[in-house]
Amino acid sequence: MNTDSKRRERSALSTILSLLPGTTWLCLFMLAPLLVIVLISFCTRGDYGQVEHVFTFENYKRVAGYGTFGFDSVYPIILLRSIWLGACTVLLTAIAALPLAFVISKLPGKFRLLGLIIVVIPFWSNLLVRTFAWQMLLAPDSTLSRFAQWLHLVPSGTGLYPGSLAIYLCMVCDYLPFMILPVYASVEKLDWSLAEAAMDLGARGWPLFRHALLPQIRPGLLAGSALVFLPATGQFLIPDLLGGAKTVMLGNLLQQQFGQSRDWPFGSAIATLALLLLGAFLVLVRIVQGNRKVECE
Amino acid sequence: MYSLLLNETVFLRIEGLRRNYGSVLALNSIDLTIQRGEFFSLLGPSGCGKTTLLRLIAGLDYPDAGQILLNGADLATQSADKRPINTVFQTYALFPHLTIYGNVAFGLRMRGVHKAEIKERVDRVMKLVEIESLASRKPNQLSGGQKQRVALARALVNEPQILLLDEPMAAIDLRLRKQLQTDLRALQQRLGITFIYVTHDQEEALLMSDRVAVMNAGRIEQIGAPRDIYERPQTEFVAGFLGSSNVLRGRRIHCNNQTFLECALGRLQLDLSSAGNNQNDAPIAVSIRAEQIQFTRNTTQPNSFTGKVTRIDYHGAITNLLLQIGNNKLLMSTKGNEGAELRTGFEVKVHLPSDALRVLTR
Amino acid sequence: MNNRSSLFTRAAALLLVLFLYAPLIIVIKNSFNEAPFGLEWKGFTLKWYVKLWNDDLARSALKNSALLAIVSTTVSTILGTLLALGWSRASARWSKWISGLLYIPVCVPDIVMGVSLLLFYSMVRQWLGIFQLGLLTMILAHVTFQLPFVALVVRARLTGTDPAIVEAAEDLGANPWQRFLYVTFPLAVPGIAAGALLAFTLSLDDFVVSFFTSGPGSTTLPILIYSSIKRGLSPEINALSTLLIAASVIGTVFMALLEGEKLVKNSTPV
Repeated sequence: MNTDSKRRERSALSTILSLLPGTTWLCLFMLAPLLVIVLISFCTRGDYGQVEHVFTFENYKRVAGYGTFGFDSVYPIILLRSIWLGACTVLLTAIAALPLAFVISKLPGKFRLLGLIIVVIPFWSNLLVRTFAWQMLLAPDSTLSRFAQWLHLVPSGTGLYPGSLAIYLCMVCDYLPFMILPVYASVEKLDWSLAEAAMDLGARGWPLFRHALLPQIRPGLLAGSALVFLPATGQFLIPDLLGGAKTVMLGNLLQQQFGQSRDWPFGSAIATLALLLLGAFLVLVRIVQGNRKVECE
Repeated sequence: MYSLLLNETVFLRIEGLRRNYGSVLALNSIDLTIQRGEFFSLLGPSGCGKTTLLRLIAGLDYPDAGQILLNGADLATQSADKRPINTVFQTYALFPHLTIYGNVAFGLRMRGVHKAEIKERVDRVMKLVEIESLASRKPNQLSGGQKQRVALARALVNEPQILLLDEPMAAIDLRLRKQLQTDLRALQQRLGITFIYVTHDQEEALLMSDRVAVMNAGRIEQIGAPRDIYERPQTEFVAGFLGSSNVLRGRRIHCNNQTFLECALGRLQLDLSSAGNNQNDAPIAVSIRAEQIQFTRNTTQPNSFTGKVTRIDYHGAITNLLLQIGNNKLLMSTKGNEGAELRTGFEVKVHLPSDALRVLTR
Repeated sequence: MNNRSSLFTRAAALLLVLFLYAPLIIVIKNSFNEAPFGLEWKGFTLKWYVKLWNDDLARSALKNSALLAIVSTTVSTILGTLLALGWSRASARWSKWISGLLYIPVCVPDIVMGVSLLLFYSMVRQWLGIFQLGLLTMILAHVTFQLPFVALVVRARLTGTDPAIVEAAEDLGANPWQRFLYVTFPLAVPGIAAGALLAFTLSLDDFVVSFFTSGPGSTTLPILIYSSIKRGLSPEINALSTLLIAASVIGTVFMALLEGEKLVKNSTPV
């Protein structure tokens, strides 16, 4: 029909016109820079830090540990350490998010949103500010450090900062909201009758949680894991401000290459690897989610 | 107030209308004529295409083939905003950001009607459906019945030539529904506007309409006055959809100037007027309404059988009995106290009047 | 028993909330503390705020931050709203591609985004001579990470409204432009406002992307805080941080009031 096709054409045209500016912007300032990164990662660093368009795999070999002076484990270790930090943060935030989500979901109706806001507000304050605050909270004369000194966890007169513990504390504090929101979304929908049925059958404690509740919360946990793992692995500010030389992470390494060392091709190779890692992780999450769906059907 | 443009009685004509979504045929060659001032219902189960047909008339969707003619002019060249047709949506689709007054005035404002005239017309129509007191409220402060009235006022204020109503009672609770149905019918008769009313509720369609089109699987099964389609169903679908019927299948036998259905029950005498002119020995189906089966004492009378009561469902005004006759089951409805003494396992004698037996075309 | 959480769970939750708020409390407390260093309370003072107010560096950083946040929020809100409008009308196949494109900036770690833009700007500068690092390059970068969030929030609003409402407008004689002006747009306004507020907060708080795309003279508040922390503490930082916390809290509360429930419900994107 004539009007119909004309009408559909016009509507398609206006749809395309409204999509165009935003998508063009993202292609230009998101996709193009990522493409540049991948391309530069195959280039060579000149003597003065400039990028020379000479094709090489050298940068990737260096990340893998095979540099000019034979095998050196420093870069692979940094990579693994970052993944480890990301994984630990996921685990710790998940453990912390569950009780919070349960308590909030049990609040009377109108207080639930309030509860969520209370949990999310710290997250909206600046990350720098919070990291800086942890410097103060874990300084040698702080209550927490004194407690640790009393327990002989650290020598007297030294603080918990700088160190790994400081990094983990700050990471959990920072990424908890990313985990809580999706976990809460599934906790709120929980079918408690399943738990009651399990209790009728004599389940208590861990088995009760594992069989009656966990399967229902899993989608939220999975989404939360993705939301936490991705930025946590790339985090550079927290290790930078709270860690020492022994806690260099992927992010710090990247910053070094684009800052002091001015080795852009090597930095690009690290960034490309980080992107690949991220892609692989997302695919993994998809697969796990997919399997769950199949099981449910 | 509602001027008549032409004096011809056929007002809306639909010819060969077809609509498919991908490979799904939502409407299959619909032919339909609707008279001016008629209350016309489209009745059918969900997914039968009745809402699709309504959307095509409104211009919210476009047909793949066929024509919709209003006063002889093809509507295909007009988009929904240009058609002199308005709709009451199933969800009412009131504008949540506007007051009730703003909602009702919307159509006139879009057409650039003068402010003073808008005020006058909106006030008049709001009085008509008795929502004057709600003018400054927002839609989310209204009850279902009030929302329905607002939706009605919002459409009527534009003085449409046709008003389309898409299951407007679906969101109304049962007690209120009866009242609103009679109100709506009265309103339509007062205004004389053509109403096309979509519903899946047969009682509602029979109660309110001048004519009803029963739809199934994208086709119109039968069009007629309520009594017509209820008492003289032409297809097996219509017989089954309206009320409860028994369908008997068999072969047509013609002898001694009389027509019979030869079926598993035995030989049933048919009324000549309804017997159709199928060939002798042709396979036919015949329907009989549950309430048209009668008790009898005389088994020698033609079309009489002895059966066993296998189930009794008491509904108050009526009681449904499931009878077993040989290997066949027959559903029978009795009114009031008739058959109150029956228990399952009892034997009864029933009569199937030949004028209640309808030969189905499909 | 299921109507109340167990005592243990509630205690754990309370402890966690304390843990989340400890950093904020310590910063706010110290901003009013007479003692320049350390945690010991030496009496109430507003002198750090006065000092901050008279600090030229802080003032220019505030000016830069405000300018950056206002301009980038304006641009990203317009682009994001347009994108959401088109997205909500796109076919399922296109919709998948668009959401893929939008989730890239959401998923890519901000440091990778920062360095990739740094490289990209320097490449373009070599060829075309534009994109000297400064406020402009920061604005472009901020719009890039704000845009998907605005689009997601606005689209959630658009798809949450009954499509019959726009059809009703058409049925009542509104042409496409009138439908947009009198129905679609007014209904999307709370979503657009929430998206803009979110974008503004993201811009104001961003350090990493700003750090890599800033140039001389375009120092923002977070960059100022970072360099102060790195240089060794200056006590005004507590005051500055307190102000930033206050700004974020106000922004979050407003946003939650606008679109809170929807944001929570749509927070499981993967």
